[in-house]
Amino acid sequence: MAHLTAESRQRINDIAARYPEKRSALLPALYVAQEQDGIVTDEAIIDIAELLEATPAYVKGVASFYTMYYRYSVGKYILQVCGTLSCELCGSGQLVNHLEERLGIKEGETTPDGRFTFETVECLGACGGAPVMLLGDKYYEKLTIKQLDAIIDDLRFKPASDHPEPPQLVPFEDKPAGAKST
Amino acid sequence: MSDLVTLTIDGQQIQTAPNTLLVEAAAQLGILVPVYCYHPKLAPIGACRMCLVEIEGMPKLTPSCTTPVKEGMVVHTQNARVEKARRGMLEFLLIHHPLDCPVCDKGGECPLQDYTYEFGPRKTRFRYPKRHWDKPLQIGKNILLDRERCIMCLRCVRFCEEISDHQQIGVFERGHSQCIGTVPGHSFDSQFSGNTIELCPVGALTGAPTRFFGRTWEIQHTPSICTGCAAGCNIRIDHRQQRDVVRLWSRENKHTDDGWLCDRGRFGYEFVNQDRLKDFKILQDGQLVDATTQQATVKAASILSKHANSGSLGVLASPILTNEELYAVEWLTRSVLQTSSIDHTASAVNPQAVQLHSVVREAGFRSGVLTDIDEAAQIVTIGVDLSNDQPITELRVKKALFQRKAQLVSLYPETIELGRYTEHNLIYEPGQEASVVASLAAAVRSGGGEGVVGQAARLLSSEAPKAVIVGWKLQGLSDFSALAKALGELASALGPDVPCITIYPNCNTRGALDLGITPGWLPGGVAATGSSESGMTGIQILEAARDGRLKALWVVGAEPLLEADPELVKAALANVEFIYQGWSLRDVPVDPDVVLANVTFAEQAGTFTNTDGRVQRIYPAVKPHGRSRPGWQIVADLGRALGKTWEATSDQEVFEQIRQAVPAYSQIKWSEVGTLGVQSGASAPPAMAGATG
Ligand code: SF4
Ligand code: SF4
Ligand code: FES
Repeated sequence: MAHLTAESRQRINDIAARYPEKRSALLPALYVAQEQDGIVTDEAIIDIAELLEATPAYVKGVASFYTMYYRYSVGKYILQVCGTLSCELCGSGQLVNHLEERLGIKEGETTPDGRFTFETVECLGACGGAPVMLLGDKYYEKLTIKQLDAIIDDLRFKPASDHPEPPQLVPFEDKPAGAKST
Repeated sequence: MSDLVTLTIDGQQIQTAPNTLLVEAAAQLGILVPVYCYHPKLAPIGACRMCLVEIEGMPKLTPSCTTPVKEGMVVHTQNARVEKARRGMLEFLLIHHPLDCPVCDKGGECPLQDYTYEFGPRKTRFRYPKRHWDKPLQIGKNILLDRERCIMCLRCVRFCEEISDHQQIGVFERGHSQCIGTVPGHSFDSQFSGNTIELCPVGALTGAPTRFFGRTWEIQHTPSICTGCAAGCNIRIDHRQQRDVVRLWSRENKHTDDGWLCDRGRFGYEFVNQDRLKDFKILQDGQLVDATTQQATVKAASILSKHANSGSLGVLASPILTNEELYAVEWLTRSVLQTSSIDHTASAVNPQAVQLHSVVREAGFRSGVLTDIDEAAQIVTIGVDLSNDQPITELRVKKALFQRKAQLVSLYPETIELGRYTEHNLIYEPGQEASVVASLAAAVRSGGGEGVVGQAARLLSSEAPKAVIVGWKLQGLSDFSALAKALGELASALGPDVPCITIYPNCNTRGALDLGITPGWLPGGVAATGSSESGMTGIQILEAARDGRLKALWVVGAEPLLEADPELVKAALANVEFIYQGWSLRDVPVDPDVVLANVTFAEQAGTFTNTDGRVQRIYPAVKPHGRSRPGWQIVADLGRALGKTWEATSDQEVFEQIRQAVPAYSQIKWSEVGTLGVQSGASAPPAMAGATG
């Protein structure tokens, strides 16, 4: 699994230089790591701790608290459909059903080819455009099923060069061992 | 005008200091408010909501552990609303709790059990599958984590953040999945990790070495003192019906440990339970065989009397023996056997530096005590790495640095753990101690100068209250007089009344020095004169034995043997008539001619003197193994066999004699030593005078 590259380290050091305390740069540093590997790896956590004079446990605490850092395998494209009230009233449920059917996965899962992950998220702050979906840093407002299909078709047939190997599965040893009954 | 705040809790009026937390004010009235995350030594966070109370005029219940008192507040801690909230909180906490009390080390002393009985719901209404985690997880050498039992009070994480600053455990995930954990490859190996076992209000963190030690209600407790180093941390020995020691627990004494223990001390009790000598023994036809107490004593006495008076006997007594034992050994050696070669250590110590605490006083410092660190705004450590040399005192320094923003100047050959918190790391080549201290002193006097030394000096030339800490490693310097002189210059540069604390290596090194277990010094720090003046040091004793210049060795406790080159020890012991008195033969490489079975600290009453001269009592926790006996009784028997009667029938009587012999102890009243100890006075005569080599 991947340690931070020299380039990522440089970027993190540059960000850290803006703060009186290095560890204040932790959130942007985690984004740098996530941009590098698609997820925040344990190795990156250890590297960031070293760069920012924090401990790995502290960095992992922050990385695992915020849901926008991925610590286990996600697809290349993450489709985030807003599931809060306004979007729900305007039909986000149908978008979710459609995605489940079209991609053959349930919410929170990743397609076997590693191309798509889809999840529902809390309010994206764009209720005026409900239903809303976030893809990368782009908002799709008043989204219809037809538009959604077009987006997926577009991404599905992006050339291979733009579609590197999916990140490997990180064994996420800290997840509860599932709901066994007592 | 009063600075106090008046408020009413449960109908009772109380006046208390501003900023007192409600939970503390209630405690002052004797009202128990249940808490989990609150701990008096950690910053309040209000994580568990167990301590909710009703404040009149506030719409919602309020956590009493984060709310300070206010003038005129009217607080209710026991009405129906509060009780309902408590019941609700406990029901939440128990939703995923495994309720495996029958196999949980915490069972019986667990606030989760206790409060559930007292305030909790009788039944669960939760019908869904409980969340499960793998367990137990060994997250560090000494620590096991059971996440199912964890109630996320975060005391453990806060300790590692606020007190030890070893943030090796963290809070991971959020909501329902939130848990405590470590990062793979970075385990929880802080040397203070064991404190989290005590802090954890449930059985989520338990000790790996003490796992399944027994049921808490079958355990008895005896107050004692840790023998791991010279800090003299107060401990509670937990034992099963006086049979074996099952764990050590902290026992707060603000003069020594401040409520914490290090792992070396906490888990370092195996020597009490294992490899113990149960019988006296004698060597017959090359075999050690069990003997009666009488036989062994007579044989030992005959060896001793053969070599008494002749300068052919050497005595080594361990610095983890009690004052009473050491006093007896000194009495027999000097008064009965007329022998002056007696020492408590076999490491290289410059005779001039033996009485380090007297040396620093001579240099012009005030005799410091550990609590002086709590008053200091500037702390100078010289030749000491507290992480290793006295862990608990490192926590005290960290407290000064973190809570009071004190500043540190460290003089050491490498960067020490505490060096992380200062720019003033004066790193020097070993051997350069004197010149570094002298140049710091000169720079302080001139108010600054170049480089690190100059910066440190600028800091130290302010008026702020200071404390100096010096370590025993300086005792090994061959040119100690240069350092002594430099320390004198530093003392005068820093100004009057600066306390200097000396860090000694073993739990009773200071006692051994006070009691004359060192060549050239009699009890009370009196320089020896006449025939006893020219005793050999520990290392010289071993060399002389190897070379045939000594004919007999009496070794009490194996610690000095561990400090010298093993080859030398072997050659020395094999070449003489060898009497060994101790609790285990484990560290004795050669079969002794006579073995006298001594008890450990856990089986006897007595006193230790810690690094800053605090005399503290230990109490017998477990029964002596086999026929082993307290050292002073063995020595009294030896004396009797040699025709000298020593009048003492209890540890208290021995201590009375010590008081007569050691001026620094003369003011100590036995009844006042109690469980927290008493500071001995400063009365040793000048250190440099009359020291012999
Ligand atoms: S492990 Fe113990 S101390 Fe740490 S958060 Fe859980 S219950 Fe609290
Ligand atoms: S600091 Fe020393 S006395 Fe205190 S617990 Fe550790 S070893 Fe024992
Ligand atoms: S004790 Fe007050 S919230 Fe935990």
